[in-house]
Amino acid sequence: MIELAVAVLFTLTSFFEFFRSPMDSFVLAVIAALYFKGCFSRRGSYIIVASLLAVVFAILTTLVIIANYANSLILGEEFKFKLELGIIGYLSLIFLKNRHRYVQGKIV
Amino acid sequence: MEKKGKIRVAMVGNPNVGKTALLNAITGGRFEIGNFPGTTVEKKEGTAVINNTAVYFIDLPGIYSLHAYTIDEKIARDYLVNERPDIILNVINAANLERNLYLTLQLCELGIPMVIALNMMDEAKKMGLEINSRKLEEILGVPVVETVAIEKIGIDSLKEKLFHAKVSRIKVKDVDIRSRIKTASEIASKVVTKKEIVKTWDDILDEVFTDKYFGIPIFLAFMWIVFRFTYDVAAPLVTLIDIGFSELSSAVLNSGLPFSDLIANGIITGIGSVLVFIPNISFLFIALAILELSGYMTRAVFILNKIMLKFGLTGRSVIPLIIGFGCNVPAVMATRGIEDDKVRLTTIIINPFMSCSARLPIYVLFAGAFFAGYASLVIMFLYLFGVCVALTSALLIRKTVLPGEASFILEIPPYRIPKIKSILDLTWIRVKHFLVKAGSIILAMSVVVWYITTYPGGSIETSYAAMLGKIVQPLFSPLGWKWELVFALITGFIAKEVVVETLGIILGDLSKLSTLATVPQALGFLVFSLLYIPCLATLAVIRSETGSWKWTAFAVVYGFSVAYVLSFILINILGLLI
Repeated sequence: MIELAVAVLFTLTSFFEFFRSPMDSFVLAVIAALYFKGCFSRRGSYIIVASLLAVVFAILTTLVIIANYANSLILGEEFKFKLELGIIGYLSLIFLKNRHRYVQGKIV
Repeated sequence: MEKKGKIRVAMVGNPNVGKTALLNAITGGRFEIGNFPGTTVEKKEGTAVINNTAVYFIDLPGIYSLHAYTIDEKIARDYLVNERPDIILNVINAANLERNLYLTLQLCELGIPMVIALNMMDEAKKMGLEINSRKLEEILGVPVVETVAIEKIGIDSLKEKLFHAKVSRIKVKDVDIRSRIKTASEIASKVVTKKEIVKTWDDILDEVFTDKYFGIPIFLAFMWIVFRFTYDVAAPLVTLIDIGFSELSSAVLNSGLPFSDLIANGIITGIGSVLVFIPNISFLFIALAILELSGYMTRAVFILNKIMLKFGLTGRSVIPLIIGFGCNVPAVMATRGIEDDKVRLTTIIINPFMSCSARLPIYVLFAGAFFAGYASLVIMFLYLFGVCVALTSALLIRKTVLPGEASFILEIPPYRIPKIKSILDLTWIRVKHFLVKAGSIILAMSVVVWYITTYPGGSIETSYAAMLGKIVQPLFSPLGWKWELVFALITGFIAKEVVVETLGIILGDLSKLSTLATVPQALGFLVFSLLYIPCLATLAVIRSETGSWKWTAFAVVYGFSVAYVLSFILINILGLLI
């Protein structure tokens, strides 16, 4: 079940992120927990909300990377790329693309 | 002021039925729209020329009845009864017809010509509701027009029907609450048919957003996203503006123009040190507008309601508290929707503890200087700390000076995908307030602060500012702050942004800020700035809303005491740890 695999992936990401940013880690943990709840209770609504939150977080992460790059350009400093793990949230787009599977609140 | 010779149309309806959106659609105005009950707390006015006739619209606050239990209801009822508008435009939420009809029946009893706008027809259709508006028109005996205000659907037809407004012929048997509820229910059952019940997107999202266990973690996750967006994403724009003002200041200083020192080191440095945070403030408002317009914020109110009750408040207090994140002045005014006087008074007193946008520049400045790498975390901590202090204070006040029970009914609006124009309009209305302040109070204060930091001696150390700062400084010596910080707090009483402006003028270069305090002292200063005396404008509105100097003085003394004690504790505990 792909939802479960994604739940595990977010759990691992949350764990790795904890030492860099506890609050980013918290957001990833919430997403993971929502996926788990959706998988075990077979309620699509949790998958939908987890995916929404994950995609919003991934967009934020992308904006932060772009902002860091722009800031270094303005200041004339060398850009140091820092991978933000929240970017894996884009994976959740597959669930939003196939949202009809969850539309009645159940995983079809 | 009444405009004679015009048709006066009073727009009346329940909260969050789209009255302001309708006013904007009809008049082409840009009034603030929310997907949030209680967006309108005062009368709004707009004019449109329809069929060569000037029509003057008065948008009254959203109300459930004309019983005048709340200040909103009193404002609306007083206007309708005393001013007698030419026409009532009753705006009804089509998705919740039965509940809205209660007010409609009361309006019918006033004997004023009326037109009904059956708004949010799109939401009703999404819910599988079919409404026979012709039949409703027959029953009530007044014109009924189907509209979707936000999409400007049905507006032309509505404008036309205003000239065919009629006095309703419906008669309610007994003019009491039960009789009206029964009549409203009978009318709704005659005109509304519901298709097969399907699970809507609203149901799916609500199941999770209002989940007993997940609701609050999801809320906190969204708040964190908001703060990272506010701080990290806005950073390059802040840098750009900062560089722009520095260059401008240097250019003016080197130009040899008359008053170049006043213009460069006073006005440009002063205003620049505040305007540099416009991107942060704009991004915060964009994020809050998205949450508000999407309908999520009301779910947040719903999940927080239980917590609120434990602190002697109700979910209705959450709305003014959240508005307080923008500015405490409209937030205090938004308490008018709270029925219970004691809950309302408590909400007013604790509102200044909510971190308004004017305090954000102080946080961003200090967090960047003392907590690099953890700035977003520190800012989020301050916002949450403010909420905790507000709730604890509410509990304390409700247990001692204002005891009593609290209860609350919350209307949950539908989810909507926010339109970019609505987000930008809402953000602009709020940012404009900040810009107006920059062009008035902050501009004036930059001249005043420059003068008292330059004269009489010509240097900061011998200036009036230093004298005043050094006189007051002993009061803050247990907190370890230098006179510069103390003086910035004194000027911050005028408006909180002035704290940063003052430090900018005193230091010349804000990168020297880290020389003024240690890390624990800096965090203590942030906590103090968050909690101490409300700004002058907030105090004025507290006075007018409570009608009492006693409660205004209480807000000052209580805020200052809490700020002092908590900062002292924090500085000393952190001093032991770091």
